Amino acid sequence: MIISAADFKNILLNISDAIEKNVNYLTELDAEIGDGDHGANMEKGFKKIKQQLLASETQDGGEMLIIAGKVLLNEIGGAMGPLYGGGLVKAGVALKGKSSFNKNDILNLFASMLESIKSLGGAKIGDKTMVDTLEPFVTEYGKAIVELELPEAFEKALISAKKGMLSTKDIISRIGRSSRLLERSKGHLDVGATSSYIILESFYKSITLLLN
Amino acid sequence: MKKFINDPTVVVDEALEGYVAAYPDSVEVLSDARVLVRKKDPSFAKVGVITGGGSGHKPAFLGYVGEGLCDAAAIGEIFAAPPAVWIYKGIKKINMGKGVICLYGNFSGDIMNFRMAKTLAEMEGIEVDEVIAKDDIASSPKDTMENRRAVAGEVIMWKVGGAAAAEGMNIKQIKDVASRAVFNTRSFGVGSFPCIIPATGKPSFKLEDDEIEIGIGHHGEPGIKKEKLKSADEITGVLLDAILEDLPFKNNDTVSVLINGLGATPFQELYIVNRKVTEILQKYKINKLITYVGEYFTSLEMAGFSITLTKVDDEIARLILAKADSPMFKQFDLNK
Repeated sequence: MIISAADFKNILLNISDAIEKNVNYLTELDAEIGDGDHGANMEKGFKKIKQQLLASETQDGGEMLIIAGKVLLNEIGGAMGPLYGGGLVKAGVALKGKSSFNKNDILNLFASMLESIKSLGGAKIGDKTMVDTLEPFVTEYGKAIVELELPEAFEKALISAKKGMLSTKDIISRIGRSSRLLERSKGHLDVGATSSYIILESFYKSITLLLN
Repeated sequence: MKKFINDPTVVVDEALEGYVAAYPDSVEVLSDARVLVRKKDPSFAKVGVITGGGSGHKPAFLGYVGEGLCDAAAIGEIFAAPPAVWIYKGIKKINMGKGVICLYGNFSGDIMNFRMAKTLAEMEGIEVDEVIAKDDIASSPKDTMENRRAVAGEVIMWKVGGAAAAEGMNIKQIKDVASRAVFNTRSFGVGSFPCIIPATGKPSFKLEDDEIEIGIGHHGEPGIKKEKLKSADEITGVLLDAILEDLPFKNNDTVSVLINGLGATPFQELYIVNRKVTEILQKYKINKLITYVGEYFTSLEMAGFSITLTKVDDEIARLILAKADSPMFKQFDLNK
């Protein structure tokens, strides 16, 4: 499967819609052990991404990711601005000049994003962060594409991502705002791990729509 | 939600517009970044002082842009750090060739954005350093105190760092003295009613009518435990004992005292707290340098208060007593 630039743009637009649809859920999760602004800030950021992508005529998939990343970096702030924004820009730089994506490019995209997020935030697996969703996804996807095609590999990796996201429920937070809660952070899903899963899930849904 | 707003998505912008309209001779906003700066340049080239953070903490952060305090404040959304690019533009604006010091609180979003801004400014040859407040003893045990979040202790950091810059100290000297002030500052707070973030419209946490949250964070983050409401004297005793033990503060130490209301607690109650604080400090023969009672770092309409103690040496005492003049924080030079 090869994803064209136009399809890739739609995938990104669909992610914006998925974030918007889940804004209340993310807000509620964040309020349990954080300050409750994750949903609203993500919604604001992805709405702007949608506007700017719709206004752009670029056929360069890397450029689209850079546009999206810069919106978050320049206008959103919070912890999510640098984490998601920096990650998208890094992925965009890695894929710059590409007008279509094969399964290896998609690995490159998420691996670059993960690397940026880990180096900036300093989180490892088990710290109750978005890394708990993204790293199992990248590891599993990297293994799966050796034998499987893009959609099947993505589906397999998404299962690992979901497991990773759900695992944050039983972890005591070690990083970020909720880390100060120690024991009390237990029993709650991490909101960053959840928004990362929503993004991956939406990506997968878009791929399956393309296949049909 | 019952708030006097127009549109939840522009609350921060509209409040900032109103603030600048109230104090047009003192402050202005950069044209291409939500950064508040002093309108009058200092009379000599000094180290620039920038702070910043999420909104909803009035008078922080914008109220501390003024003489003897900060030269700029980057203003994020409610409870969310400002973007790195804004901070960088603020640093560029207030740099007078002597470098810029960033004085902010220990929150991961703020750290990431301030550090990215620092990198951007350093690429242009601007010397940038930072001091990060981490005064809230409820947020992490003492053996991991580097993880503690900042609360009202930031005000003392701005006062000391801002006065040091106004005296003409270089960036390293300012970092040293402001770090020492941070290291000797301890805060502990209690919440009795949640705040509502306009964009979500919902209370940030739940408490029963007779419950309080010991160790509440400045964004409504849960603290150490929920307890039944007690008398002001009892709660003050619990908070202050923990503060005194944590540093620890000892006989004959001199301290500055900050009793901070979180937004909806009447000043009357803050004075009742201060009455008890004074009594306990006298009991332990701890001297008071100065007492601030009021709203210095709020959390929207949250009810509750925090107590902040800073152990001072001669230099920190001089800087705390120095002149400060911003629209929200005015103090004569008390060293004279």
